[in-house]
Amino acid sequence: MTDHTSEETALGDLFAEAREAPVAPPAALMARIHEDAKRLQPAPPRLASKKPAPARWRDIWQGLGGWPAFSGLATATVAGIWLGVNPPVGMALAAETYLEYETITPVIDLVPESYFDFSAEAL
Amino acid sequence: MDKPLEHAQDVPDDALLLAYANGDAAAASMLTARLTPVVFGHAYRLLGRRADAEDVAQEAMLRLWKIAPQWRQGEAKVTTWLYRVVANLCTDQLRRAPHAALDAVAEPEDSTASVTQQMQSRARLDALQSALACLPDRQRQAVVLRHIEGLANPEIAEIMDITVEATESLTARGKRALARALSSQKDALGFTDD
Repeated sequence: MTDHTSEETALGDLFAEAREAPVAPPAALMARIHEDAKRLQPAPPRLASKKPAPARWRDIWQGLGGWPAFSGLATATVAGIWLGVNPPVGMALAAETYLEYETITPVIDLVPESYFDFSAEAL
Repeated sequence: MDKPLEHAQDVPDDALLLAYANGDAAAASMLTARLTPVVFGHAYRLLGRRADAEDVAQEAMLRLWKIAPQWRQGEAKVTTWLYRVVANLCTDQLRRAPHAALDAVAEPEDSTASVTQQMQSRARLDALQSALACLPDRQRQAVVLRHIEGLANPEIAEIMDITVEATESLTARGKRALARALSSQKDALGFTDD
């Protein structure tokens, strides 16, 4: 028991001695590791630079809606041209119907007893 | 960016690592100075050979630099991660060269100790290192982490990926085996039979 305790104490002292005498890394190793650190270090984030004032046409372009608006306008233009060049059958019929429809203009004679027949003159 | 961080000694490792990942050159210097001795010392205790320990230390730190941009603060201690990397690298190293001769432990400068005392101290530390080399890898790792690095059992368990109970058992067995290995050098170590 005494022997065991003595060994425990001696071993404890030995561990303490090892803790107090850390194995120092050589300077060359420190330098190599520091070089690795610098070589592999990511670049610092760049601060956002102040943007130049946008050009006048860019303001106008953005005011009109930019590319999304332009693409919609272009699509509508192409579709209109195509319908004009090659209209579908149904569309021609509908156009004739609307264009040949007799126009009725209602006229109300506000002074029926007067000398002038305004309703007749109006027509 | 090169301006040293104020109160650098109070800055946790993971905060320095974050600063490193953001390009802070001072953080690179401080992490190197702070962690290289830890990594190299642990590798030396596990391997017993300075040249191999240097290779392991450099490789472990290289992995740290590479993982820095993905490091998640607060999830794990940097040193815990490093101890684990070092242990894995040492295991690989020992598989490649298991029977190489052990180096003598470098003794720190101590002007207050006499030459005789320094020689005795060196002899004791050499004996300890030789006895550690006799232990199985896992026992050696547990004993070094517990009794030389001074870590608590839960942290050792995390490093070794085992339970706290298994850590305690491994450490106890390692310590007994170490005492047996050192018993033949009682005079050098100061062991007494009374």
